[in-house]
Amino acid sequence: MNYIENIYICIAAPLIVAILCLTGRRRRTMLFFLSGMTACLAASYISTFFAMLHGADMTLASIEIAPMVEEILKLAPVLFYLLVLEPEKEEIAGALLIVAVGFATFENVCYLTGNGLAQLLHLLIRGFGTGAMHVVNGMIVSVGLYYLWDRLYLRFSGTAGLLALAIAYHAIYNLLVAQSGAAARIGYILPMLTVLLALTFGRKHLKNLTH
Amino acid sequence: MIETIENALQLGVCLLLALASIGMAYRQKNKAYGILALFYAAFALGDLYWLLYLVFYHITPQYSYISEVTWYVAWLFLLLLLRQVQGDGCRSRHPALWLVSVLTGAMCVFYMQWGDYASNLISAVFMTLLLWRALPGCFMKEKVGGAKRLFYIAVVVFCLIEYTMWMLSCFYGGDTITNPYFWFDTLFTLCIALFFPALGKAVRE
Repeated sequence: MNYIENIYICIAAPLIVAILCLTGRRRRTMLFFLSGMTACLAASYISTFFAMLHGADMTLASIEIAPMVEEILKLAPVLFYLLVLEPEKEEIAGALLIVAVGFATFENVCYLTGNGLAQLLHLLIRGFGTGAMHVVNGMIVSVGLYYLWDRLYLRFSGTAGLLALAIAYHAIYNLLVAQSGAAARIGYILPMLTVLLALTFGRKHLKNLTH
Repeated sequence: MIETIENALQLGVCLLLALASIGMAYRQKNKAYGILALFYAAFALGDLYWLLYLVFYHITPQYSYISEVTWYVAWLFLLLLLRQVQGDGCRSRHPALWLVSVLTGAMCVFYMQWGDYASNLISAVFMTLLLWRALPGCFMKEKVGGAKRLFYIAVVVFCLIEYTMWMLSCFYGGDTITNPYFWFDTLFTLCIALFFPALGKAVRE
């Protein structure tokens, strides 16, 4: 039995205190991180609900249901930020990435407590793989939004489109890591490779996005 | 087997052209190429998910919405691309365009005998919008340049091949080369590949 609510409270408590103490940009960063963790907690409930509704087993739920639920919930706090506070488009990318990092951190912690701590190498690969995958998905949406933000018709349809791309990328990752052997290894390496490529060829653009 | 090969071919073409479009968007600082890259990327990701599922589980996805949603999104990006190429000019509200809605509506009702209502309805809406935007460009010689017209024709052909494939999938089954569905799927891949040079000419114009 994995009590993810208890883990959530343990990690969220110091963050909430920090949010109350900090101001400005630092507070916003903490808030997005907490939002990412909250999205992860909500995603686990909603994915389980849909899996039960469809009678899907754990593997099927992780490759067909969870990617859609997780990516939509991950975007939700940023959409709220976008629509209510109307920030500059440069601020969107940073917000999305921090939400993604919060989400990945909480997911990794839950995975770690649920699946044992013995295999350090596996946890290392899994941790980096999942972390990189969530960051890549954040990058897909944020880089796209940055370029499509200037026109209204591109803004809304573009957001929906990019969200679908992130969902597909996430689903492919989950599909690969659900296998054993070479397929799983490719799955874990794929997001890390994407991050490396993005950092190599698009470092300047990424710096502009997340300044 | 033939479906796997066909999907792999389409995936390869889409991936290559997505990378080429990203390169062109980066070099020319052109948004149209960026949207074309997203169109190819959406198609490639949908194909990749479908292909991997087929390879690992030997069946098509049970709740196939991930690949389907990604393909809908590819249509959405194509629609945005049409609008980007079109700019503010060249809008036609010719009454004959209503025939498109009648045709797609009738086809939607027909396909509902096989598929589910929601996906058929979404497909019909996207096809109507694509044809609605692309068809006037094919006939307005005096307002649209030759290169842009080529792009509009490519989009109309894309929609027609989609409809042909859906029609064939209703009557023909089987994973063999004799299934005409796969002939048109190959033609579809070729048509997708043609968007890249067609957009290049339209952008230069």
